Amino acid sequence: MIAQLRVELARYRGRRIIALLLLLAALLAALVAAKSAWDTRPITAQEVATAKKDAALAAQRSDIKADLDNCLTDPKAYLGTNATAQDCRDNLTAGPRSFLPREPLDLHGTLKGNGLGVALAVAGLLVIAASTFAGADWSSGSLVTQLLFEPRRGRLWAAKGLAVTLASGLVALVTIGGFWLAMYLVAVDRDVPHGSGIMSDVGWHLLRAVLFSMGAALGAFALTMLFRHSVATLALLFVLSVGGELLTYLLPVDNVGRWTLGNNVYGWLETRMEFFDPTAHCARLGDCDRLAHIGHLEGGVYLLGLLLLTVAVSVLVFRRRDVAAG
Amino acid sequence: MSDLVVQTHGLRKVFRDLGRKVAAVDGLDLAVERGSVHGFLGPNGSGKTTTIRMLLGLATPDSGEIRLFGEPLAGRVPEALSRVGAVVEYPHFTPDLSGRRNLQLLARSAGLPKSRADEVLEQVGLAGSARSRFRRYSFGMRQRLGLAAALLKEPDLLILDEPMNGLDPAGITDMRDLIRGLAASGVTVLLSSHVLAEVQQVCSSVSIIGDGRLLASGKVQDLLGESTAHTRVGVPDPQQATMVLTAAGYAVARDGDDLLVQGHDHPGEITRALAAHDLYVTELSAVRPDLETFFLVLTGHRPRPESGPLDGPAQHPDGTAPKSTPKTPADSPTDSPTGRPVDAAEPAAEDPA
Repeated sequence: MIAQLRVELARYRGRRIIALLLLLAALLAALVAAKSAWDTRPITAQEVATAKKDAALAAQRSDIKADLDNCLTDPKAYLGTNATAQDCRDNLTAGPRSFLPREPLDLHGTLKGNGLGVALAVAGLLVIAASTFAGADWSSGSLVTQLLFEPRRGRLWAAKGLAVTLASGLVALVTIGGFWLAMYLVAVDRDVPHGSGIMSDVGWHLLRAVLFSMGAALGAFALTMLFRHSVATLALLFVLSVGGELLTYLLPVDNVGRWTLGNNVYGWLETRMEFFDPTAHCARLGDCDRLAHIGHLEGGVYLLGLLLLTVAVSVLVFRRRDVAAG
Repeated sequence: MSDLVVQTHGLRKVFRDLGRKVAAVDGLDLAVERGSVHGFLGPNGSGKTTTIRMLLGLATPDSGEIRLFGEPLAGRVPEALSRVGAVVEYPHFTPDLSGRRNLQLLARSAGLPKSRADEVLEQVGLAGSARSRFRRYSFGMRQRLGLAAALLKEPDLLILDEPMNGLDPAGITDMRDLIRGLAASGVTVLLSSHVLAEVQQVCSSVSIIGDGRLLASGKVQDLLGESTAHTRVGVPDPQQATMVLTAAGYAVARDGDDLLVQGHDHPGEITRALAAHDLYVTELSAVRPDLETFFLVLTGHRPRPESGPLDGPAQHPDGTAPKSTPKTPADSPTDSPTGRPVDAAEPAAEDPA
């Protein structure tokens, strides 16, 4: 099995299109890291001065002054119960901070923004690579030759699947890990918060993102071994990711948002994922919260269930179905 | 131990085509003797490749039995295939890898040393192109690489599906020599090909199938009926020569300006008989039945010849009918290709006497 695994790893590495996809994943992660760093670069003294000037100008606007005067006259009537004059100043006048051209680096924000985007993009490229790996074997007919040398189909499937999973995990670790290492170094350099709390969240996110990439690649491989064509796999995944979400929400079922693929992916990857579920049942108006939450465990079990089902069907069909020459 | 390396009994494989069941292989009985080079012939769509796929465990029969090396194939495909090398249809490899790398990976899959790859590349004359990517190989080079892969395991049984395809004349000669050499070293070869002249040169026995069924099987010379060879005789006066030879006990027929005399065992006696009557031959050549003619008539791809004076039932040299399972009107005993009339449209192969 180890020998066959090495063979499949060599085949995976040897495919030019796969090498290009992996390179693209690395470049993408590097590019997003560079863009994140650039978009959050420190504010210059000149930019601070400009922001102060803009804030002062805004404070002189007659409509804003009128609103502020009204609020200061009766804060409770203007802003609601418990409002004070200070609340009026805070809410109705814009300070220089509001006129700064960009936000400083915030690793929490990156986790929900570019970090999540990098994880999804890398996983997407690994899905294409895994599908291409299996699809090329079928389309070139080389699988027939391989079966003449390793006729134990279950073992061949397992070796290929394991090679895809391991290679995808390594690539995900390097690319997504590289992205977060770069973000961490930038945070240290700029002395923005990078304590154990946020780094723990980043570490767990990285682990979940790597596992997600491995599972997604294995799932794509299993589907391609089932359909015997990478185009069919990628078309199915595209239809599922777009049409599937829409169709799910059309089902006459309460809380159906819990069962969509997309929500569960986000539930697994995000530190805390909440989503608006229009299908949540409310007994009385205002007596329910349509903001639903999917935890890591729930999302993980959902995705693992899908993966195991796909793998089981794929292996079963591959073991039993005739293999035609290309 | 059985002396049959490949044996099938009642092999059947049905495919669905637009909801309709089509039997690609229908009750096929195949027998390949140890150490033989066995031709496996049939028209396109006759079930050759489906049969080969079943022999290699790539497809499962719907019914019937396959035995390789005397053991049932079902349930022991890996053990059986460890002794089999094969090329199915066209050689298929990973396009981005070099020929050498492809073979190395296959060798590692089968637990063989990497050095085996270089040995077989040398053996098929592809060592010089071993480092080129497979996608850049010509068709002939791909065939050679396919054969190299089939030889990796040092097989006891070699199954080759159209191995001559795409080879240049030198390549065909090399392939022929290689197959003969392998057979001489004890390797059994099952060779599917449509180049019937090649099959006739290389194979000691053949099986011919049509519509998934066995039409004929046996040694080539038995099937062709070497005893029914003829001698083409050119003489200035064919009419008188006919009378002379008929009087001498020969069965003679006219073929244009020439005569066709049954048999080619003693051509010298024909010249002597004619010369005794001042008839001097201008041409003397052997007319032998060939596999192509036999195949085409057997598989119904040529109109049945009309009966001629030399027609006779298909017989082995010993007078028995060849082992065949007539399925088409063309292969009823009286119209056997071995009894093909001399004035048939398709000329038989001629050898200078």
